Amino acid sequence: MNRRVRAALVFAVAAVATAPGWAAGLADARIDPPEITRGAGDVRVSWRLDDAFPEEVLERLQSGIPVTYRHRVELVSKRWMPLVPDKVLSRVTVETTAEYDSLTRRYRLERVEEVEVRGREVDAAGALPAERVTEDPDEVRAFMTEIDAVALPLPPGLREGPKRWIRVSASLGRRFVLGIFPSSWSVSRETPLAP
Amino acid sequence: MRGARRTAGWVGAVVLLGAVIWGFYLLLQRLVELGSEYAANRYILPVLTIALVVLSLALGGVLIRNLVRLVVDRKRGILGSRLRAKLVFFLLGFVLFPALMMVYGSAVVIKRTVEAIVKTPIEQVTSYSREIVDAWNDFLRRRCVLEADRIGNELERHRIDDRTALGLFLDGWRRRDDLDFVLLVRPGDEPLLELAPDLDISRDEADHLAEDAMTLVRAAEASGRPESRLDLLGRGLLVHAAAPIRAGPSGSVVGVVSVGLVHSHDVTFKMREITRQADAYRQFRLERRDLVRLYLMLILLILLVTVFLATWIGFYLGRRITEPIQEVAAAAREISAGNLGVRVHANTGDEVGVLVDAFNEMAAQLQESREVINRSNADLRRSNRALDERRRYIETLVANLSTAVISLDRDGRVTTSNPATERILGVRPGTGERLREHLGGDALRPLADLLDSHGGDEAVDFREQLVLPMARGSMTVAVQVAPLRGAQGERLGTLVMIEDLTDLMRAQRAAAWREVARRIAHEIKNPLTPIQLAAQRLRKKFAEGAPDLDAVLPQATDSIEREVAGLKRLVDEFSRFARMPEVVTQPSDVRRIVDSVTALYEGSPGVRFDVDVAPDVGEVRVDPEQLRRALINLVDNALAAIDGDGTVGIAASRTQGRRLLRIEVSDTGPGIRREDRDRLFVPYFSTKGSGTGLGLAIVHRVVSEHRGTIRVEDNRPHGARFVIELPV
Repeated sequence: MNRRVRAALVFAVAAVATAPGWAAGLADARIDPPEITRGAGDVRVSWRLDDAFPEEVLERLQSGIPVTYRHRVELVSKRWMPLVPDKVLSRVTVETTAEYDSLTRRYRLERVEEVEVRGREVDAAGALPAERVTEDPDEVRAFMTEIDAVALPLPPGLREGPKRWIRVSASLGRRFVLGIFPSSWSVSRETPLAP
Repeated sequence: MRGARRTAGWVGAVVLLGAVIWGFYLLLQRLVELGSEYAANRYILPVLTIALVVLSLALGGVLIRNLVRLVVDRKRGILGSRLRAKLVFFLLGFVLFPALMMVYGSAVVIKRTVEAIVKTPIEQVTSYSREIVDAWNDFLRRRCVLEADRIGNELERHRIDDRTALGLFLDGWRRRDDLDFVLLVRPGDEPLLELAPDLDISRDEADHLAEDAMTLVRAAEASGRPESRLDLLGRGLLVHAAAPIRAGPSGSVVGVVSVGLVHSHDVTFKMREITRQADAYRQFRLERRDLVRLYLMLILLILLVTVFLATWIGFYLGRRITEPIQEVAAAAREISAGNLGVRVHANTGDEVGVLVDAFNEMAAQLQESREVINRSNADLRRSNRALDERRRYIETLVANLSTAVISLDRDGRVTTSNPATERILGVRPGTGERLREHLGGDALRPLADLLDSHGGDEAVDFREQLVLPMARGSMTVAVQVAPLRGAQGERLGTLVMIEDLTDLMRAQRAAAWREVARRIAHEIKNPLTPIQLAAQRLRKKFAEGAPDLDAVLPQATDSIEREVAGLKRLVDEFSRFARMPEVVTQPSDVRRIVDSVTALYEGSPGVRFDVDVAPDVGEVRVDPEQLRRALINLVDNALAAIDGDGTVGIAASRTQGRRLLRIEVSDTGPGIRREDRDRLFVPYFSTKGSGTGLGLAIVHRVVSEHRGTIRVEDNRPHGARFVIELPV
């Protein structure tokens, strides 16, 4: 196999493997550094996704397809051994969904929160309003990409240390591996838990 | 049991295949019904993906496992592995190539079809329709804003406080501008709602309308500027707007006026359909790649299922074909190793089954044949053992025979010779040697000449007696040559038997001499008695002085003379027998000899001579005088036998290829008793009262001197026949 053929094959595999699906406009999505505020028994985490609500997503939304972003903020404990998944101490999952009514030309926005501490679901006290309606796409964009002051509970007896990190991630949609196999389009960011 | 399991397996496979096909059918039906919405389904793609992955892994696992097995089997040289590999790869290629072509073709067709649909003006039409709907609703919203603002301005200008008058004012405005409702909200006052009486809404819808209008009023009051919205009102669509009432151009808000229009159910439905279809088409355009991907995955799934089935069928068919063949091969090896009881139990019911049945039948026949062969072998072994024992017995017998037995093959080479051969001849020819080569010495030359005279190695059946001048003394042997013939009568060789008769002859001679002595004594004794009696009579007469002495004396002396003369004659005969001359052979005319004999008896009364001398007899080398004497003795005996009434026959001929002179002398007399035949040629044996008993002894001696034989047979119809055979 000569170099040219090998290069063509590598290019073809790479092109197929990174076939983006509908989330093509999400290639530049990223998470801004989250704002973390220590509270009593919890930390308040606010973050924003940049370039995570492109025109392609808006077009899909306006065609009547519901769009859901799944945000996660987690308190994790790092492992000393590489490739071993981190231990999740607590987690808040915020699922934001927008749905467009073409007749009334209004967006219905919905937000659901789930809180887990050491793998167990707890009440999501102080959750944001669950549903609202708007005609403003900017409001929709903000609703979908800006998460403000999520209360991430600190597990009782948590020992502070350098292994404790706050990880923020968002699953923004679907993409396809090898052009066929769907996988989640995700971005994430980790910040050490300051004392 | 095995067949039932196979049937159950087939039924299971068919049911599974049917379920898969049915599942695909349902899935495709759903796709047709739901279109692009299903492509966006968050579950269908992962499910399809998992199915693809599972099937791919299963197919890969099955392929790898079986390919490894095939390679190992081929390296081990297991029978049927090549056929299985060919079958699997053939089926795989047979299915894979058209399936890949189908997938590629389907992908191209689907993609092009979808793109073609996207490029059609339908999207444009639906988009325009939707824009018209939106424009119309926007127009209505603007109009509502305008109307609300105008009513608010009018109310501010007229400052109507009376609710009744206010109601009439608002209702008049509503009717004039063809509005469906007008709502006035002022601080500290109850909201005043004027609904069109012909508005076709239910009470609940009316309540909803009031709530929606109040919500918008509050929004306008909060924002301080006109607000408009579209709200669903049951099955209708509410287009309404709210405008604040200001005290003066930049005064404070003193109230809010809300007006609205309600689209009928029918119009709302049509608008909804227009937007829905437009949304569906936009979704189709946006989701078309997912849709194509979904169809491709389905096709890939079908391809994988097909390839999996083809591979599985290939392996199954391969196993189904090769396993019986392997069993047949193993059974063949078992059979070649001697285990003929092995059978193949594969029951496929097809051509392979026919092969298996034929193999089993062949094995059964082989087993049966083997049993027959075993039985035959056992019989043969028994026969061989018996033959071997018999052969050893015969060999022992032959080895212990006092007679030399030499067998020659058709080429005259010695095949066997027994120890007596060396004992008698002093030589023992080895196997493969020629007998003639061992008969070169002077002692054995007569034997060689005898064999040569009878055709050498091709000698036919004959028996002769010879005297061999061996170094240890003369040896009388009886030589018998007989052809060896096979079961079909074919000549296999020659058997030469040589019997040492020396001792026998010596014993016979001793016995003969004893008989001669006895007879001579008897013959001598017979005349002695009369002589003794005559002498005693003379002595007595003489002593008595008998007067008749003169008369007795001549009688007695005559008697004595007569008996002495008889004794003298007896002694003369014996002397003559003893003094027989040696045979001196010379070419002699047989006919002349015969004629000279018959001439002696011409004129004999009552006697007929029947002489038959073959014309080809010619001359032979014999002693004519001795032969003539022998014939005279035989004719004398014949004449005595017929006693003056009968026929005497004399015949002479050549036999055995002119190697033998055969002379027969026969008579029509009473014949010779069998018990006398053995002693006929012994000297002084006679069946006649007047004979000396030396005639036939002389004949026998003459014949023996000529190395010939003589025997006596019965003449037909009666009488005796003496047969002389002389080698010439």
